[in-house]
Amino acid sequence: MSKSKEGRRLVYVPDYIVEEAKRASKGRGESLNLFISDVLRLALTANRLGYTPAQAAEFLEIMQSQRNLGGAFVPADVLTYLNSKACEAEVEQLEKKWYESGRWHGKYLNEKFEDPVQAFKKFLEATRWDLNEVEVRQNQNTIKFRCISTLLTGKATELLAKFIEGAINSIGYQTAKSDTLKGMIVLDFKR
Amino acid sequence: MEKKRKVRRKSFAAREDYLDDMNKIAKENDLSLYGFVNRVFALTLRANELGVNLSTLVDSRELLKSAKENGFTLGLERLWYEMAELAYDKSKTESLKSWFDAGVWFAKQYVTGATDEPFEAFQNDLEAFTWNVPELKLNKRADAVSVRILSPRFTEAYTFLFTSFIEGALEAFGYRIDGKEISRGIIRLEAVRNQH
Repeated sequence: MSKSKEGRRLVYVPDYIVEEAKRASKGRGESLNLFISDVLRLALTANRLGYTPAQAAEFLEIMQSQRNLGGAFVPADVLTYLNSKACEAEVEQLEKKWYESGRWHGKYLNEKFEDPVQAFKKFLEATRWDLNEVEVRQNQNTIKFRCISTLLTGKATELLAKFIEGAINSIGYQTAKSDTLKGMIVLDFKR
Repeated sequence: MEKKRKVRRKSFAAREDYLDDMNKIAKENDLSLYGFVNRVFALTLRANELGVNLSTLVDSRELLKSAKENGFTLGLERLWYEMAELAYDKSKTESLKSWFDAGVWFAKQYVTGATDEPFEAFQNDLEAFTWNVPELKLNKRADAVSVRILSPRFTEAYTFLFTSFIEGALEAFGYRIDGKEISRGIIRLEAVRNQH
């Protein structure tokens, strides 16, 4: 690294990166200097937020997928109400809807990610803050899925279990065991 | 023995303070500054290909944090609509009340908080949490607020429930509904400030 002028220093990188950066900055209608400055500043911000560059990229992909999938926010109290009221209406129908949503989600992740099971785990960790723990143990032909929550109601637990089952089923694993208790989901799958 | 291919390098000028900070992070991760900067650029360019940039990371993280603090849950839009349909069919009045109360609760946080501009803060967060709604406009004038929401994907039940949520929020801010026009996917509300 060498000094160019006060407050700035020269950094060396492979020339293909500089060429790609030039293309990217041009695509955004920015100067290369501004683009580089932006990249470095945001990398530092990401680090302050607790992300390594790889984790930041992973989080971005998950969030982008969530938008593509049609993610939407709903007040948590309303969701609790909907769970109970809609369950009163038709439990089986509701469970089917959660299962089908899960299948759809899993199918998308399967197409988009190299490791869709891990992507699904990260999706749950990033977006379901009502879960205290999401654990996935994956062997060659089996998956053990465990979620713990101190906030979920009994019905919400059962519906989330259906969603997870749908997602993992569509990734190519069959349900071998399903065990749900209020706030706890234990699911075993085999290929 | 195979000869190692030499990687051609180019240089660019960057702010010294950024590089000093990056150097520290690189060391913490057992990397050279060159290696760390390369990683950062490689990932940024990949994100760029996906149509996202690192500022999205900061925005998304802030959005999730804010949604969590404000009592929102993230899930699939279609599923929420279907559940809303089931609940609304079962009990309209109770469903509307549950959304109204959620609106009151959401707005109360801003009304009772320490924010200088509570309505603007509420409006900003509401816009952020409704990223799935193509058009959501809240126009605040001296003693009135007009609301215009357009979302072709809203079901009829969801349109009424979401209207109830907005009505609850406006009530918490001290407004009463003076006029409304609701049809599937379209919400227009006129609210005026309550006279004390």
